[in-house]
Amino acid sequence: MTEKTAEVPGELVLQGIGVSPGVAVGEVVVFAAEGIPIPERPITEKDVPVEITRFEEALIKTRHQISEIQRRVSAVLGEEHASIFDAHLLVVDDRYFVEEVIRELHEKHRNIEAVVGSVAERYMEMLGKVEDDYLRERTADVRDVTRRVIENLSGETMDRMGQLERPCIAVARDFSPSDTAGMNRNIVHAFVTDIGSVTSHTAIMARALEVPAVVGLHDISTRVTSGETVLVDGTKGMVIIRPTSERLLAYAKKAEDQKMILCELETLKDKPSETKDGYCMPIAANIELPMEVEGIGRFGARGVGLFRTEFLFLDKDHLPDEEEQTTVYSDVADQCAPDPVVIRTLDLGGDKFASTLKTASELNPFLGQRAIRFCLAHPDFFKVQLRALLRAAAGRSISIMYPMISCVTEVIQANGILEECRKELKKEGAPYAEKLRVGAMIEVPSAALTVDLIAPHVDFFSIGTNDLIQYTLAVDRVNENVAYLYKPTHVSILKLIQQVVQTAHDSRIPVAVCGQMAASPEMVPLLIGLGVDELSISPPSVPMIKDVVRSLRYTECARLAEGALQARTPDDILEECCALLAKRAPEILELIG
Amino acid sequence: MADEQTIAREFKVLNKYGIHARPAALLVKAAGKFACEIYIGRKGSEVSAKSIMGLLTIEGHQGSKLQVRTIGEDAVEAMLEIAELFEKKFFEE
Repeated sequence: MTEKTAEVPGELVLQGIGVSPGVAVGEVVVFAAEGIPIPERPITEKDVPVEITRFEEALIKTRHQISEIQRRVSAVLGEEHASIFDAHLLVVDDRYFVEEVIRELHEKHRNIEAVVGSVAERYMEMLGKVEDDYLRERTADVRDVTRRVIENLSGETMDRMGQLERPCIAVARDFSPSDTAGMNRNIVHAFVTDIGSVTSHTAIMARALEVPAVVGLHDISTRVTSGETVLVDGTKGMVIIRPTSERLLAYAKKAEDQKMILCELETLKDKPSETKDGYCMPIAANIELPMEVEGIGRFGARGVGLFRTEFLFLDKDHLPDEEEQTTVYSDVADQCAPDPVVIRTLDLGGDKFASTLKTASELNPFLGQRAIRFCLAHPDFFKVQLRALLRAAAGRSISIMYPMISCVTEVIQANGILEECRKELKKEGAPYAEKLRVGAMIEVPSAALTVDLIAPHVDFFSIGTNDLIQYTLAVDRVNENVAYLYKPTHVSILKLIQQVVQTAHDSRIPVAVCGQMAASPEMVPLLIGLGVDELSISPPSVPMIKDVVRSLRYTECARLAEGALQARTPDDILEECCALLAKRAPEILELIG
Repeated sequence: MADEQTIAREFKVLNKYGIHARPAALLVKAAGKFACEIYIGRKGSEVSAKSIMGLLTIEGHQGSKLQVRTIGEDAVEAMLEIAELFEKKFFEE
């Protein structure tokens, strides 16, 4: 995505991808790109011992910092995410690397920063040539560590985020794991980066820490300078450089109003999610990091409707084994008990790739071997996750669901593998769940149209609207040239949802909606009207959506849906939805406007 | 009486994802316990098994064959420990 608009004098509005909601205003601190300028000067032989001492001190300091980061990451995100720093520590302790640096120091007579930089550069170049995607990516680790050593040598910023003292907005080309690990959310009020996507490391950390973030702004790190004021709107994916006082005032007023509304909404936390006339629409939470479980109760959601497991597999230097996965799934379920947790089996591919998994590069990844297709093609790998899920579900309220189902055969195959795992566990005498609720995600039109065939093999359905819309309308919503065609209110989508709900209900199977549509207030009346049984959304959106549900009547929603299904333009339908929302819950329009 | 012995053995990389950061870290940690020199690689391009940076650059993908040489007093014990890592697929599967 690139900037769309500019032209308010003085201020510059940039459009990127909003990956973590919320608004923040503050002074920018720009973090230099990975290649920080390395000071260079000649030295004489008698300076060498001094340089060596500086080098050793910097190494000790670096080792200490990395251990500290490892400890912090382990505390916040769990031990498995901290293990990446093991390899970082070994780089610092690499005697051969150190000796090579010292040898070159004697030979070249240059200051130690320059020598460390050039030796590291040589290694990175070698790694860059390796014919293996994963190993090639390790250059980032070497770069992360040597940057730290060089920074310690020049005595400048060390722990870039941890060193910040004043509240600010952090801007960079991208942030590395050690950057975000060192940050304090009371200091860093928002993240803004040139590159990245919804699944990039910065995005995941920002959501977990509930800090607004906008990524994919191309060149913002070179457009702003430290000290400038920016406004970050993570909800709309907008960054405004040098906002005018009118703009700030408008946002401030809006923030004030929103705060009041949110306070008001907090009182709904323990109230049931049902319409005025008693239609129950339970709201569960979508989470991706175990640490997000804490927010579920705070925001008043009921259980987890979608636990994405990809994060376990991304950004890591090894695949999580059965034990590790069992522990994560059990912990999340224990924390949510007695409410249920729905865990989605691995949904890799498309735009998400694990560094440790070999996924073939495909010309059209969204139509390629992703999600269930990948898992069925790698049954040994899939079994590790299924066994962990079966074990975790022993005595716990855990259900599982398969993503990207396009044909009933896939459900039958997956269930077959699940049964195999169950037999294995039985033979091994390990505790496991004899009964496990299994669901299919409906996000491909072919599955939506054959729900009757799939129904006998599952206990529930969950509609993933983001993919369902993308596949039905043949629109990539992050492609700005066609994004205008991405319409959740396209009649085809409503017809598909209606068909799924009706067919599923004929077989007495419940249907949840877990995509973005469920978190859009104006879409909620439609979903109620179409007869959806449950919504699953990110925890911070729960109070708002619950308020919408509680202010509506089922009868008016049913009428709205009925009218919408009579083929008309998407915009007409959207207009009617907004009109109903404006009548019933005007405070919510204030909140999202 | 320096007992300088050299042992050489060839290993096949069995684990699926090859000598990536985690196996490399295990090798370095194991090698670090011994006084002897430990080299690993192919003809003409050997690196010390005590150097993580070196190990990452040897391109040990699954199925490739790597030569390991241990030279020094505790060469036998070192080779045994390295062999175990290769045979157990670096505890990955």
